[in-house]
Amino acid sequence: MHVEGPRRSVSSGQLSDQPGAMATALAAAMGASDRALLFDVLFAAMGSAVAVLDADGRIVAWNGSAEQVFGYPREQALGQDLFVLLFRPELATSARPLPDEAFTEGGQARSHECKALHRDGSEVPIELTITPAASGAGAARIFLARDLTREKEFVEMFTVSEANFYNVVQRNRSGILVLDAEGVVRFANPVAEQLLARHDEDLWGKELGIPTMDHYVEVNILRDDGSQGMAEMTAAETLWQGQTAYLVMVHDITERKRAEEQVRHLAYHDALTGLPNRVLFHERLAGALRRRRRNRNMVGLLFIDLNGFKEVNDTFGHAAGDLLLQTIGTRLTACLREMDAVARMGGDEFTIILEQIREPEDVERIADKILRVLGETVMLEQVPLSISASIGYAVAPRDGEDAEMLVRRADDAMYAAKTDPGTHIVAYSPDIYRLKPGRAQLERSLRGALFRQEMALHYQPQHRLADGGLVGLEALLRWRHPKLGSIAPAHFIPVLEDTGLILDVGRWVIQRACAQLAEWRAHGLPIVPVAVNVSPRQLADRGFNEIVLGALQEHGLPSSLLRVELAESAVMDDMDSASRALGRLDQAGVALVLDDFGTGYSALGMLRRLPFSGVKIDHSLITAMADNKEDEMLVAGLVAMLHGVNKTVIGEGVETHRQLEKLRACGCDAMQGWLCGPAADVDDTTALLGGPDASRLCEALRRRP
Amino acid sequence: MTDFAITLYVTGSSIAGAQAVANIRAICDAALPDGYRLKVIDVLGDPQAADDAHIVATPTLIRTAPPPQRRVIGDLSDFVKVRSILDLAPPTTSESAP
Repeated sequence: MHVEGPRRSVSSGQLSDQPGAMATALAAAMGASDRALLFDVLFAAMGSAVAVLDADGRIVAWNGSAEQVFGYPREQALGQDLFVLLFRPELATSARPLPDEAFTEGGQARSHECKALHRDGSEVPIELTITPAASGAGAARIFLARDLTREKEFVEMFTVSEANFYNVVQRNRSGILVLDAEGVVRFANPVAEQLLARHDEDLWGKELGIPTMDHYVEVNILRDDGSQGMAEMTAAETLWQGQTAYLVMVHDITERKRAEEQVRHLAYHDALTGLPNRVLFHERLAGALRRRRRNRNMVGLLFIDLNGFKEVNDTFGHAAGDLLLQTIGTRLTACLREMDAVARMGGDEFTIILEQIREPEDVERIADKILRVLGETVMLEQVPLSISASIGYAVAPRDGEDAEMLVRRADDAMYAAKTDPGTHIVAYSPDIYRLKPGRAQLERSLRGALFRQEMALHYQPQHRLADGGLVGLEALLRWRHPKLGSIAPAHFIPVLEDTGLILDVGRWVIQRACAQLAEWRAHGLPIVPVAVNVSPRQLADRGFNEIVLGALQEHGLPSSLLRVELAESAVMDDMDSASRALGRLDQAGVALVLDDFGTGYSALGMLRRLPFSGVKIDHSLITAMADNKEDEMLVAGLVAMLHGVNKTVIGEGVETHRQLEKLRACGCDAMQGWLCGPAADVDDTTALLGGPDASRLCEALRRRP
Repeated sequence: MTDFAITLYVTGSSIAGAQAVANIRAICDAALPDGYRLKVIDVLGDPQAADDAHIVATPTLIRTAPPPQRRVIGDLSDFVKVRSILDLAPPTTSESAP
């Protein structure tokens, strides 16, 4: 809304429209004296400044309003030239509208804005109308002035506030919207239009929605071009043109959010693979365990460590190693469900969180699948490479409810898998600490084990199948670690062999067995031959024969009381030297037994060339023959064949009556296994040997149908 | 029973969207013991639906029944305001809800 002069005053317009008509009406209605009185009353009551001028422009009448507007009392104004009194000379020229025609166009009074002078010298904006009081040139005129000071101030104020409005609203960096009570957009500044990516017609009059939020809300903007933006929105209830409305401010935070997201991604993800890192892993695990408690199902946690990754790095370089890690990351993600979370913990270690698991076996199956997928060939530097991994896992709630414990246990299980050659997947159980300490730790501990007297021999009885009689004992090496407890031979014997410690320990075993036999004999116990296990390393040792024969001699034992058990692999590598060493033992009367027959080469030529007196059929065949007719036939054939070349046949690892019956049916000579008695320590074995004859018989064999 | 149907438009897993879903559920569960129909639309998954409804920003809630249609924008955390816009009685007087 703008105010621009000149303009027409309504009152003066009416006055000028019908000057004659009003006078005529007045003349008809009242007498002359009445008319004079009316004039005086009206003249005094006029809100506008009014002066009556004579033909020369001198003031002949001056009302109260004129006194107020221009500051001249009536006495001072009367008789003065109005144009000299109220206008500056230059203004007076423009204001003095002489001749009268300048003021009247076709009989109409014209009003215009100009500035008059107050008595105090200040300027007074007025709307000025000069009307002839009677027709004809030189007649008196009526000067009518409306004080525009307040109006001017108002307009001024309005103009200033409009500029303020423009600055505050239109040029504001925030988007500003006014919504009506229904949530319809009634106003939007340019920033709001830009931010919401909609122009006037797509925004003004459209329903955005009634804003409801506490203080502010981060909203997602759906731009017309399909892109996404983020805005911070605040809203306040207000009045707009007298109606309830909402003043809504929107701030563009798209870039800030993007930067935040980027920082967040960097902080929570591994830069190489793009997978979640250790930090995010811990967050995800905590969340998974919370959900688990609500849903009452299971969560599987897998720790995966690549085998031989260091060698890949060393051989192909770090760039290739990185590529391998990226490939592994992609494969892991691809073979899992969307809800499962893969993370890279650092180095070549990955973790997987499996949610909504029904039974621990599901985790084992997934671990199997992962192992298979990881094992698929990777091309590195044009070299096809197959990588294996060690996986350990724990399952909540079985192995723990809390994240820290679950992580430690899955990690320990992974470590157990890592330190156990040939084992790829290990489920957490308390046994892993007992059975599978780290190899380096084993090696350190083993070096002083003999000295600290941590080694012992246990003896497992061997019984004749025909009548259950005790025919021998197998000496088995046992190691009790002071902290870890019993360590399974399958774990420490390979370490003994790799480190060469087997030579010392092997010698001790032979010495110990002979010393024990001598002790039993000294106590008058009926003794049976004891078999000791000999490794390839021992057999290759030039002094092996002397150790065996020397031990027998030292304890004054006949050589028939000691038997030497050898695995096929012990003699296959260098059959000639094995043949020479074993030949001398055989000549000295030490019986040789071939161990684990049926698992390795089972080369019949070897049986002919080497002086074995007996053969032990491996427990895997014994287990298989109970359920499988073909395996049963195989064992029966082996026994017949071995008998044909004059060898004694022992079945080992016999655990059930069914296995025992099958073995007996095959014509096997003797057996060894849990069914008749586990390996026992010296005290128990001494008791067995010293007991009545009946107690030495195998219970299972005595209950023969 | 008066049919009460609302559609909530959210974007992916935005925080405000998740809050809006939780808030409207809490409000409706308390005020409409006889049930209501709530449809949550992820505009990332169904941009056409957002376009059809002329959604400018999310979260936006539209009451489709009963008429007249009402539209609300924000995380709906001002329960009193949301109830008033959707003509839902506060939970304590739910039996006498109009």
